[in-house]
Amino acid sequence: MDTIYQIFIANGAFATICKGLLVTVEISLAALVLGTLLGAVLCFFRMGKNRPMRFLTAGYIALVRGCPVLMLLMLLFYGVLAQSGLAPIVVAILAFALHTAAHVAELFRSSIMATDFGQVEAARTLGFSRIQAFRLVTLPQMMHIARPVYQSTIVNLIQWTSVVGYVTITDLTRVIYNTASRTMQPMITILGGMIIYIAISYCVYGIFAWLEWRDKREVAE
Amino acid sequence: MNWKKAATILLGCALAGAVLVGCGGQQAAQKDNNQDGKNIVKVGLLTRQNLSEDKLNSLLKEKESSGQAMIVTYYDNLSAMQMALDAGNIQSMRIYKSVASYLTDRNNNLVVKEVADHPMDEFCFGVRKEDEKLQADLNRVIADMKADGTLEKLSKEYVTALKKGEEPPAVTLPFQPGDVPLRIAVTGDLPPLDLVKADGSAAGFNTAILAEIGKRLRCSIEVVQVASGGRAATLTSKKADVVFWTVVPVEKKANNEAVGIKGLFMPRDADVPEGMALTDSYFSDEVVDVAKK
Repeated sequence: MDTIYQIFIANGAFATICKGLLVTVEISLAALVLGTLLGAVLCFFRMGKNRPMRFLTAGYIALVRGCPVLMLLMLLFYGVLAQSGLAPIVVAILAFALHTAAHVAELFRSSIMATDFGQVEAARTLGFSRIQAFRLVTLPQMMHIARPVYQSTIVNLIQWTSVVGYVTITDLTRVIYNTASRTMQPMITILGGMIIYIAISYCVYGIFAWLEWRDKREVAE
Repeated sequence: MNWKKAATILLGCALAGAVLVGCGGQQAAQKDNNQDGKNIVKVGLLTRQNLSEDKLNSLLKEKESSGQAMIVTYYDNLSAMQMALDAGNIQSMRIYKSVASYLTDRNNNLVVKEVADHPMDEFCFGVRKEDEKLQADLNRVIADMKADGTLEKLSKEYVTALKKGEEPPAVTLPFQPGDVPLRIAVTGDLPPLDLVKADGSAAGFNTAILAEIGKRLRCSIEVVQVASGGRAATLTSKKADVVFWTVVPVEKKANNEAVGIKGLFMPRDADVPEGMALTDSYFSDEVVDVAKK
């Protein structure tokens, strides 16, 4: 017990871990919002009628999805944006958003493809505009289909952020490594870090479980 | 019924694990140790950025004495290497004596073993090749600190005189608002030389040297924390101006050639990436093996 106290709580260690956790959550949250918006735009072009844009987005998605996120991050931070003066955390958010966007775009595309197009045609016949048909018919179904995979994407994103120590950011993983080196107790420290990551993941699962429960209750009512 | 099912699955997994460990774990390790009738020693080493693991192992093979062969595995940081030692992936980790003392003070299951005819690694600063003025300034300060005994005093205070279980004291780095700071990359991976304290502040012998350099060069110091593997990129992309580095000394007669280092046959530039220039050394430390008791 004393070892655990010394590793995770004593002399401000708890506050340092919380700071690291906050950085992880900040990067994940910002990258998720930005990545989802960008992913929706990519999906729009990927499924659109404009052929050059379709090829371009397909190329982007294939390229980014096939590239390890650490390499993308290092390429941006130490290469493309090295002289930009952007803060490391901003570059990290950008890198993770670009990576997430590629995954989210494909997720949205597959969800749209899984919906019944006949329903949209029926809505159009009933006088719905294209936007109305999308908003009222496709979108709710698409969100329902995409939800389980989107949840995994969020959890993956949180885990991907553990590499930001390579670009001078002190996130949760970096704090855990520092603590492991300082205390020379890597096994317990890393186990502790793992539990924190699992706890964050379960928060995400909890939110989605709550959303699902709410939907079911609304349907039942 | 469900409990029975769960118990059966767990038992099955445990059995499969035991079979896999039996097939690939201990027996394979024992087999390695007896290949060609030689005793193979598996040693962990912190990653050398300019010398691949394969190249180093082939150099070691060329130089190995009969009856004992050494296979080196690289690790990005001390924690990973320590876990590999605990798991039995390596038999010892080859690290600096000061770090080994810090480690064994906190882990009673480990013991330090001297390396016969051991090499002394030198600690220095890495700067960009074009930053000749900074390199000269650092060399001048290092020479001054050597001459007036500051280096010895600091190494005693932060390394050799540390009591068992004690962490090196915190250091206040000089910082003047408005100054363009000298940005120095630390890893926090090598206590008591380079560590991050529980409150998140950089500390250790290297940090104490930084504070002294800042005072003597009359400049502000900003610490940038980065993973060991990212140090070179941090420097060359100008995200930091100085990084901490180690060099492997060669015997004088070897004249900086690729072989001839005592103990480990490693070229002097084994860990010096392109575009980086090194300052004079400010500290040297023995290399020792840390193994399980």
